[in-house]
Amino acid sequence: MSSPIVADPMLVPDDPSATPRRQRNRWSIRVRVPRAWRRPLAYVGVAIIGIWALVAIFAPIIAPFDPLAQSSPRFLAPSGAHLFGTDAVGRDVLSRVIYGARISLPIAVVLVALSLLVGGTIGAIAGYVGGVVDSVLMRIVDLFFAFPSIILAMAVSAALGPSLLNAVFAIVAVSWPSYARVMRSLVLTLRGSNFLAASRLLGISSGRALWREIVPNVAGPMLVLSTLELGSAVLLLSGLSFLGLGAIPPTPEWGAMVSDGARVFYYWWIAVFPGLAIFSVVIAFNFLGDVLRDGLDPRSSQSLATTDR
Amino acid sequence: MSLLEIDDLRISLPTDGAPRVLVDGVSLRVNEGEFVGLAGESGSGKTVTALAALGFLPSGSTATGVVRLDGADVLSMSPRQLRGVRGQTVAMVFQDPMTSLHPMLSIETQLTEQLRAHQSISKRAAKDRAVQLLELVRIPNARHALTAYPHHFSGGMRQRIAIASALACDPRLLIADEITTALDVTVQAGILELLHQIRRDTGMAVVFITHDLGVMNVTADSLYVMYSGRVVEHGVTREVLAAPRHPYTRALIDALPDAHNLGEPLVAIPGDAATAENRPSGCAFHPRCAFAVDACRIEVPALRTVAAERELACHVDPFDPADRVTLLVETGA
Amino acid sequence: MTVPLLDVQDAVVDYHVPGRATVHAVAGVSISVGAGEIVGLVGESGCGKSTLGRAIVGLQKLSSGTVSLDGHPVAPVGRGARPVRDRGLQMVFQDPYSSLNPRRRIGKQIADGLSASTDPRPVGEQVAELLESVGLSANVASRFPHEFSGGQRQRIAIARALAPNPSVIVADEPVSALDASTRAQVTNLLTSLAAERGMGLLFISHDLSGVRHMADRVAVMYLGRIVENSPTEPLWGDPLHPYSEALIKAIPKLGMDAAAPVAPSGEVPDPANPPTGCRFHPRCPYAMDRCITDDPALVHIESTAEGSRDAACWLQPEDGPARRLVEFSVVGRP
Repeated sequence: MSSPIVADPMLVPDDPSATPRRQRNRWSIRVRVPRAWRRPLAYVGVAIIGIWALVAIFAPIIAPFDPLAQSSPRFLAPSGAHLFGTDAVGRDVLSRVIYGARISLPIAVVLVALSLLVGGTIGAIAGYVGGVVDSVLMRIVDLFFAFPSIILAMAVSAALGPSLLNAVFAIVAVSWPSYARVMRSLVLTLRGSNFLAASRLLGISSGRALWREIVPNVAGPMLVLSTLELGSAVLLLSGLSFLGLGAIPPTPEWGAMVSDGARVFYYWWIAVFPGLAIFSVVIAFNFLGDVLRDGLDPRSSQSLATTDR
Repeated sequence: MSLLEIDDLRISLPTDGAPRVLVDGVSLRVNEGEFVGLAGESGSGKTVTALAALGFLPSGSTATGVVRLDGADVLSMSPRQLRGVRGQTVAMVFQDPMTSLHPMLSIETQLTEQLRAHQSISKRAAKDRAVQLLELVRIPNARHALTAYPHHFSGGMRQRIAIASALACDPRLLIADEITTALDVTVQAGILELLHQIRRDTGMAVVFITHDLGVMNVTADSLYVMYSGRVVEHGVTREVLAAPRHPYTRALIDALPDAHNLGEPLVAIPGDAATAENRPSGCAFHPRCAFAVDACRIEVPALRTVAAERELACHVDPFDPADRVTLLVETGA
Repeated sequence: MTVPLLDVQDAVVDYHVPGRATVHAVAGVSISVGAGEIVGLVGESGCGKSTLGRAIVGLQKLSSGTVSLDGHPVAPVGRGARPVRDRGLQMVFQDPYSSLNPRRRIGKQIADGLSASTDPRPVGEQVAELLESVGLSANVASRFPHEFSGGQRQRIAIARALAPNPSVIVADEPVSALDASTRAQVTNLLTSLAAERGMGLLFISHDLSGVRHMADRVAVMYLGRIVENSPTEPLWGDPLHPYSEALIKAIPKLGMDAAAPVAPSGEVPDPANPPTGCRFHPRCPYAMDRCITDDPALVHIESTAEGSRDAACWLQPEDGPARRLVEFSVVGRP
């Protein structure tokens, strides 16, 4: 009497006619991009960020001069000694741009992390709990969205006083709503999913289910959103510094440098090089975001990490 | 001369490596007023074959062979000629009733547009014809229904309207691609009744594609069973399904819950269906076939006539009723 | 009469759409499943069978009525963790692609059901055993759902549902999304598991042929009500309710002498606006005057060797004798 359960293809190793499935995923963060998906722009983005990261780390070694001290006559055009020239106070622009990476990059990451934390939490609660809580939270989000971000950031920053720290608060206050909206929408969709229902039926509590079932599924899109928002964060910070509300002189923050240079635009190198630095970082994060968006779909063959421990 | 003659149709898609063959030498005939069934699972190539009758080929594909519709070769027609043929001589109805009609246009617009595209008739005449068509497919309150939109109708009714739209210019051939698969069984029965009634009234022929063998049994006169882009068996539908000779056809029947299997566990076909990407050598079914011999792995079996109205593509022919050995094989299995 | 494992009494589920009438998706259903019994719940789109399935396991709140498992009432799933004894009632969902978390390894998802296990063996071992009981190899536990086909994912879903050692499983169209040959595999699996474990199985489906093959009894649902509840073969050979008969006649059959499928007249009414009296009367070939005004209850009609036959039809007198529908064959009706 044969077993009613027919042999399963899974039990037969290397079954050639088995439905072609993707490679077995490992718990790894390697991005294996197969031929069909090769995107040179993505590599460019990663490369740029990598270079800036190294620059930031090795700034004291790389920078030819002290970024804060006057080292030469003012307004020197780019030359052998000063590749990016000198600014209105006689400081080497190249060194200032290099040291600027130490400020703009980490602060941008902090900005995104905080916005993600605040916005993501609020959005997740709104989506998961629903009802009145959802309505109230979303009206608050709408309120924030109604203001142009730079204006709101300026207002908060001015109220708190110009400093880098206050600029961070201001930007977080302005950025969190985007994360909240996206998170809420993701959570709403996932709330109706059958695997969540199955998990609840098995006895997993609501809170644990939120963490185990929903969060892993939002991590991907939220990460992508974050990389894209990083670019905006850098720009917002630069914008505030440009307006004098962020980094206070003589801090070599790129935005502040563009601000100083804009006043004396005849000496173009003072504003243009920090401006290019901002531009390169923002574009690089955008490219990276595109790669992550494709890479984080577990159904595609180059999937990234998952969250089971 | 048949209404539709497909001779050795081969459709393939170019890829980085070897071309992916979707349809591999399929021949079939549809006579006037005949209901011809194309059965097979997904990946069998049945839809691609049927679409070729309308001159639709997958983009980027190359096709060889002949597709003769009413004497003219569809594959060598110009786009203009094809436009004249589609809707007029041959029409198609698809599976999903929810997307088969334009959601933003009224029923009247959708039907009359079709009519006026192919015939020069007045708006008033087109409208009358549209009412006639809706009555033909038994939509209640036909004149009022013209003013409605697709979302006002259930899935079954939308499918009827899609059929009405296909019938607008009195095509001689209708391609029905899984038209009842998404419908409830009672609704499906209504659509099948409708098709038979249309045949009685107009003599229209139908190429009926479905994976549901029960539906096939009560609908198609003649049946082509397809596997991996090839025809593996062909004959009178009820005979093929009652006494299948190809192991694949046999296996399909055995997998169905049916009066014959009561009390026994259903027999499943081991392995997965062959796809165009990984078609096995020789007979495409051989890795899953209980009767495969060496020849099956090496040579593609040709479709040959094995009985009065039966064609079979199998080296082994294990269920040949003239062959007593098969009885022993069956009881031992 | 033994106490059924799963006992649903007068279940009602209402949907309130603002601005429109309340829809009684489930309008008073009583059904029970015994140990080792396979009950098929069949019906067409919109009859409320999936809603009923979800309400039974507690994913949907009942507007009224009770669900009991092994004698104790089952509560809807709330904020906290579901009580351990309620976990004996599990569900297998229709879509194999959305019932597993794409981001978690399947072994972990199965292990979720072992949280209240009293089994002293390590979790890995228990998961391995569950995988093997559904015909999968133990070493696939570390893989992700997308690495499996639809049929395999359903097996994993079944393994997960088995983890808390349930007494009853509600399977909501578990094979409808699978292709024909895989359907056979998964159906066989569920049947043998029910038999081996003495588990009750409520098999919800729109495919009557599939249910006929494996169910001990079948409940036919129409517009939120059960119209007939009968052991399988008596239902097929001799349906008591006109809708059951219509369903059976509409199925296209194999065989040289298969009759053409017959469609019942009319369309399924809008659940928000059901007909007066018996909900099936506008489409019923045997409708009488009484059917237009009075709504028949589901009552016992006769007892057979395989069990009780119940129907909700004025043609069938309570407690019998059962009338054969062919007696009422109507001449002259279209």
